[in-house]
Amino acid sequence: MIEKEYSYFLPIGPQHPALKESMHLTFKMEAEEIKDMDFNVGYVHRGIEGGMMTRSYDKSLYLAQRICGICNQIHASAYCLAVERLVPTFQVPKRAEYIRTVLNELERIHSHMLFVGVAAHEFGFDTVFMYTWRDRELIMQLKEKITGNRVTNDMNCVGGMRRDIPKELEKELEDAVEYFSERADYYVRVFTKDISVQKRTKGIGVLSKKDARRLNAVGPTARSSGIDYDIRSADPYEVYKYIKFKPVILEDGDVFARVASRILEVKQACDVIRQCLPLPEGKLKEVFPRNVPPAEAVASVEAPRGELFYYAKSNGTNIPERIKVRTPTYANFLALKQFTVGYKLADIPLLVASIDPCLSCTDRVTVVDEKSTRVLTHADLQDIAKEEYR
Amino acid sequence: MIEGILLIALAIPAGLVLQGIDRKLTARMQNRIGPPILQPYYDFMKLIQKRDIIPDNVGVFFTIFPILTLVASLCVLPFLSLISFKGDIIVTLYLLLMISAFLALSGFASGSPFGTIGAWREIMMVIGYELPLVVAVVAVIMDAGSLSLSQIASSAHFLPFAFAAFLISTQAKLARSPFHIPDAETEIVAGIHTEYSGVRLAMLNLSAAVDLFIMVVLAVMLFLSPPTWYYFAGYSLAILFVLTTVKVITGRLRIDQMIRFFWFIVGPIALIDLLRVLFLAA
Repeated sequence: MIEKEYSYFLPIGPQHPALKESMHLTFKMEAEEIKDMDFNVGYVHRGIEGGMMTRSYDKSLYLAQRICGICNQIHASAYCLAVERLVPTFQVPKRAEYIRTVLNELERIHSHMLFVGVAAHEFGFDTVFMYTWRDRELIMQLKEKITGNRVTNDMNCVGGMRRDIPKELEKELEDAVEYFSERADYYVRVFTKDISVQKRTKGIGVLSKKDARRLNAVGPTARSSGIDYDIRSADPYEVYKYIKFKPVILEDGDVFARVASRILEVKQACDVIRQCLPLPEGKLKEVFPRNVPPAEAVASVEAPRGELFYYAKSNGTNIPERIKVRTPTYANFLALKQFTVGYKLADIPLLVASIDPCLSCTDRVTVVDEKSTRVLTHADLQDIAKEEYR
Repeated sequence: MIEGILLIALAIPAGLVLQGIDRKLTARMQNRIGPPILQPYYDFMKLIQKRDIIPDNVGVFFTIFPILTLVASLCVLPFLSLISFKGDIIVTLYLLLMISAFLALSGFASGSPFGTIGAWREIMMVIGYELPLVVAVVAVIMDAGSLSLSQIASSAHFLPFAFAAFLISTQAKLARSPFHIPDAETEIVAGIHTEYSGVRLAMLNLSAAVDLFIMVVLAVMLFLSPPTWYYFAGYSLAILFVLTTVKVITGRLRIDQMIRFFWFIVGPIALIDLLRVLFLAA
């Protein structure tokens, strides 16, 4: 590790207006130029994986839903996928798959709209922030009409869906999707034509294709650097096996490409929803066995931020042996370190926001103890937490 | 004489109301409702009742510099109309620079990296906008043929390029978008204002309100010559509307982009009118 010359530290976080969630970034600076960066996560760690090891499959689903506030539906869907794959002969009804996909894509639209607003706010363009969040309200109200809640909606259950989408709401979904396609075009125009936006985002934070591949970037961060990898087309799951789907790939790899790729993905999500409607008739859920025979399963889905990976292991009872979650922001952090070095202080919030960090997803326990290895139980973690936050 | 005293007495309330109108307009343009127009007044009254919190590593200057910023703002007011002598426009420009200087010193006295970064960004902004501002004012002085503000204000001066340069420099002086670089919320928390709270923050905010009033009034007095008080108020509100619109439709520039913009674009624009006055009027 080469120690670069720097004159002062700039701490960003854990509390900072630039960050939507707590993480600690230390930038080593020389006047306005960034020389090096270090990051520290763990502020939002809640022991979810440990909690899942002591609760039944149904109750762990509720924990999975609450891992993240922005991509909660995707976490629940991925959990259900992984657990359902533990029983190889289990088949989720088609209507449930379609409803799951529609809700996942609605989640993607709202998450990307949130990101575009936050990115605009990061470089001082509050007007676009207000406009994108006003449009996002439409999606939130639609989600409330369909599922009963704006955020954590608990529509999934292991084996299918708990509730149905009635016919009247399908019409509203179509109208909302039409509206959002036009708005996505409008925002692409705003970001391409506005001079102050172009000056702040073009050529900033360039992540080359080689670096993105080497550092294992995922999601729109990788796809805007030219890497053609989208789980929905590479390893189709649920409804993506039946519909036409083309990933959004951009070449430049700068902040502008990352923002633009997410706006284009909103349009793509609208297209997917349009292809899913009208929903096929059928049952909503199949009965999932209470005691799951010993098996291992993985599920990889495309969350708004990238590849979300769930690993499930069962041991014959109705309590999972182990559930492991690997979230996309965790994979993007090394890429973040790579592309911030060399740019100015004024670019920091934009660079950090451009990977769309979701820290609630990211924090998992990692104890690196070089002298000995220790296995921490849930009770140990609780004791450590009590000591730390006394 | 009466008008002069009236201007000074009205400066603080009018400044607060202008800020309130600005916030309401911004909100409406962003499809929101926005705070009531008297909100800056309510903020001021709330702030002066707050407990005094000071960081550990600051000295007496933490209190002195905000006071001096407010005093410098208020000192400009007599020269706008009450006291009048040959050269008072130069004194006005000097005092306007003093406001920015004391603001930067307040940032340095904060004792935190955010205040320091905000302070030297403010100084760099001054290096950017001060020259075009002065060139625009000199163009007006040459057109009027007098160094006394009251004589300049007695007739209108048709100098559109200098007017545009003056307004853009005003936007930078008041640290509004696209030049809200010293207190860039998402980068350096609140920049100069980070460590200030309570009475000191109230003084800094009041200084900003009086600054807004001064710059709008100066723009009207230097370039336009309103026949009655109604026209004066009307022109001021029109200028405020233009400034607010620019604030709403732009994002923040980086400090190096801002300096390049002012030296290579706004400066030459102001120079056009100065050269036109020098060579064509003669």
